[in-house]
Amino acid sequence: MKKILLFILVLLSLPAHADVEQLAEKVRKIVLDNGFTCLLVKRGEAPIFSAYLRVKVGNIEEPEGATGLAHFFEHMAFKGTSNIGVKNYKAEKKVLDKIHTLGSRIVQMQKDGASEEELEPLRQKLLTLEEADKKLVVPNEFINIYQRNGGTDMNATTGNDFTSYFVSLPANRLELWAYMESDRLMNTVMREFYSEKDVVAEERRMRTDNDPDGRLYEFLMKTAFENSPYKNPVVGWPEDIKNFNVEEARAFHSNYYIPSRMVLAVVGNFDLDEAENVVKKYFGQLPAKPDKPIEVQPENLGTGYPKVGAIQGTEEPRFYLSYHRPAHPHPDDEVLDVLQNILCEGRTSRLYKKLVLEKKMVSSIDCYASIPGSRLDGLFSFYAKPLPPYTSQQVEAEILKEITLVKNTRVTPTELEKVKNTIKASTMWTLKSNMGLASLLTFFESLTGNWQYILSLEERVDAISTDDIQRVAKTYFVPSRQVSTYLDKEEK
Amino acid sequence: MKSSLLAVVILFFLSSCNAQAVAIKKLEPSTTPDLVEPSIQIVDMQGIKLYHLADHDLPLVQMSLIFKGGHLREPIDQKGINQFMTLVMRTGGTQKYTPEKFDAQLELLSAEVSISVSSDRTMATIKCMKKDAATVLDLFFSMLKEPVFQDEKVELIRTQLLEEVRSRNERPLNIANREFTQQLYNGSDYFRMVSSDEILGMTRDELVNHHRQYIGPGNIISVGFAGDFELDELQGLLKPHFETWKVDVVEPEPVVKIEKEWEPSIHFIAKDFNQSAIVMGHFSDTRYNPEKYAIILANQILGGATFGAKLGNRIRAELGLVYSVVSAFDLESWYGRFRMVASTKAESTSEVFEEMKKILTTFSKGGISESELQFAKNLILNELIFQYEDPFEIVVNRMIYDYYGYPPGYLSLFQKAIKQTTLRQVRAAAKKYFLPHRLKVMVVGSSDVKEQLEAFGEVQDWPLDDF
Repeated sequence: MKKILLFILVLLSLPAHADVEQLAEKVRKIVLDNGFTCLLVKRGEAPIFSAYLRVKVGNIEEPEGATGLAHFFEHMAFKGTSNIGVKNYKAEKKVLDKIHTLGSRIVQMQKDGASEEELEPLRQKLLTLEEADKKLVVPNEFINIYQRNGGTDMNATTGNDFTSYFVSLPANRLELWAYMESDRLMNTVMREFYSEKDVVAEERRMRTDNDPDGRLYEFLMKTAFENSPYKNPVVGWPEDIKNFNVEEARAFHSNYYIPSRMVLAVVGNFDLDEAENVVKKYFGQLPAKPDKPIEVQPENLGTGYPKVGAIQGTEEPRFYLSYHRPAHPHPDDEVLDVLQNILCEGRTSRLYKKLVLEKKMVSSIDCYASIPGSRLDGLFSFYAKPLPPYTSQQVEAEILKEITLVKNTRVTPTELEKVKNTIKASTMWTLKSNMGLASLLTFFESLTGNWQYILSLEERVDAISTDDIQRVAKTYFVPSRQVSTYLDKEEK
Repeated sequence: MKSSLLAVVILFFLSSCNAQAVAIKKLEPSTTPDLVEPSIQIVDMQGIKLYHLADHDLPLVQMSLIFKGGHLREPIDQKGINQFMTLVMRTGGTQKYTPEKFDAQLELLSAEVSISVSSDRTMATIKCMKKDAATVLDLFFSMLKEPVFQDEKVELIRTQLLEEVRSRNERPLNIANREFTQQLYNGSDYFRMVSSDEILGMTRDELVNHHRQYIGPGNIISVGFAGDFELDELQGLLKPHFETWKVDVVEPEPVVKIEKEWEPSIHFIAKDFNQSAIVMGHFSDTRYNPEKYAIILANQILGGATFGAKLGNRIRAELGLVYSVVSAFDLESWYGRFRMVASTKAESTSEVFEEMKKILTTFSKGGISESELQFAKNLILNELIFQYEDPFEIVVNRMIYDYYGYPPGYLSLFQKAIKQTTLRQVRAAAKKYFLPHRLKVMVVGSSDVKEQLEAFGEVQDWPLDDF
């Protein structure tokens, strides 16, 4: 989020340069009748393009007991459709219906505490049906089509706020891409549903169970949030992954994979009019559906704060010091980004100078202006690993001293100038990359409803004063919003 | 009548099944995009090769100097010195700029100056806005020519390097890859990671002497630039810096000669993870091998990516036992590694182990189809266009190809060679260079996993290096 806001701020406050000014004019925005939004930008020399589809669905939308469903659905999206990845969908559907009926039954029995003796024969039957399905499937066909056509950067990512699908291709594959992407939005099939749970479980083991940073991050979110869906890991809790059922998955897709929640950006060297026609032809077919926004109860800040929690591990100790902050967009967004820069960005930042250079308590320090997401109230977080003989708590105490300083004394004009220059330069570099630009455009269009929100920030950036920085620090960096989570090293 | 009706039904059925396949085929162009390398100007600048590619899209510049050097070319009794030295060069101040002033200047301009070490070269890079180029170049050359290696900064870097060492054993795959490499190279000091003792023993004098001996124009391979300057403008900026850079340097030692010999083995490291990391493989070959195009295709087919390759198709897609499983065949200037790498839950370690071996065995015995080869070719050929996406990358790639003695227009030659490689050649390469009966294996996992591995042969415990 920090980099994204920095991008916006840079765009606003840049001195006039033909290319940056032209970018604002280069973005062609199309909103289809079904609510689907597309941003097209022609740039670059090589005959390639990057496409970034951002769907406003993340773990925010997950029902209780089905954490990880958004991420699981992202996996499903690569399994193909009723048109791609299957030899005969009519025949497959019959088998899939049986698989899902039996699979749902097994999941329900698991939830009801059925014994292994009861479950095992049903699982064997499920395996037999899955084997029958395999004969009708063309495995990985969706991905393979992209691969053989030179698809690079091909991937998807699920976060707390969004699920995104992206790929770069040679420009003469634009229509192929549009056909495939629209097909998987309209005709997705819950194929290999039960076997994919095992793959997700492996992913969880890799990213969380066997990664100390993954474990601590998950613990931070669980500790910091009680009501917010941000308390849950994007990959899901193991028990929920095990108990996904297809009815929930279908409902999830039906409710949230709707055109009005989708923003697409296509950036590269292609004909704009042709691209517009292709987008209308393929994505115009998506049926419009009413949106069902999620209601989230706010956190009860103050009571029970500051929160403190710890987990144990054999690894080197580390910690997060975090403060609750509001969702985007908010008038204080840019100021919090500026604070992040002043406190943590680079070797001239305050915390680097204090903790790394002067006191030698850590070898690096990181700050994040908004984690784990931006759509809901999130966290401003500091992360560090203490150097022996210091403890996490001792490092944290020094961070708190610096926070007090920033509340009570003005930042210097040089510090502020550095931030503004950082913002300016980082935007320029983002503009060099098709995929980087596509990602940023979709982010702001999705988050604010209009990518041109970027342009309205200009005045606010220039108006940020040292008083603003003190005010924001005093508002958010307070004990009633504070959460400390540690990974402590187990004694041998 | 009945049989005619049946025929019609069958035909209709078949045509529906194929309708979507036809739709895809219609939308897939049969042509591969032409590779058109932008015009890079290459000139001699006081005995140094300068590559220039103008890019006026945005007012930005990037430049790299590539030096001879790297981890494999440092004196073995000073292991890690290149990395240590370059980190202190960057942070330890110069004769003209204190460390604080150096960082303050750069960060005020939001410019980057970096220096990194790889196996056989060291690369120093700048990245900044055009308007700041003169200032940043001054900082850059000051760092290269006259670093002061301030004591305090030497100790700071020492601390940071030691902290990295302490974190080396936190993730199973990191451990497995590292220890596999050490096992394969038979404990060679060149191919292991630097130890705490070596970091602690490095003196400031050694860093200073190393810089004096090796960092100078005589060891510059080339300079590469892409950005918003014409060539003459760039030369005008660079000339004063090179004119005053007169030092004698020593050529670094060549990369140690590797004997491509190994014994198959299975080694196990016990650590409390609920997911095992499996690395199996042996020595690869070199970039100068004329069969390399067949090898590249073969590796792509085997495990070039988790999707669309034999390993992933079976072990992830069919069996659901892994999130990621890939193979990699290094093609360096020395004998590198061939590896297959996977992670799986502890309970299925032996199953994945067996599948990896089985797939490799079938593959090496000619189990490669024409359609698999075509798929791999299309993937590689159609991705080539992306080598021309970023001007600076185009320049750096060209510099590296020239350094390794590849002919001009190498990418076009590569494209042609890939297209012309036959199934027979790929099968021959699979048989010759991918050896299932001579695998070295390293597995990291919980202690109860060892028993699973014993089904495959003698399993030796491998100590976990705590450096």
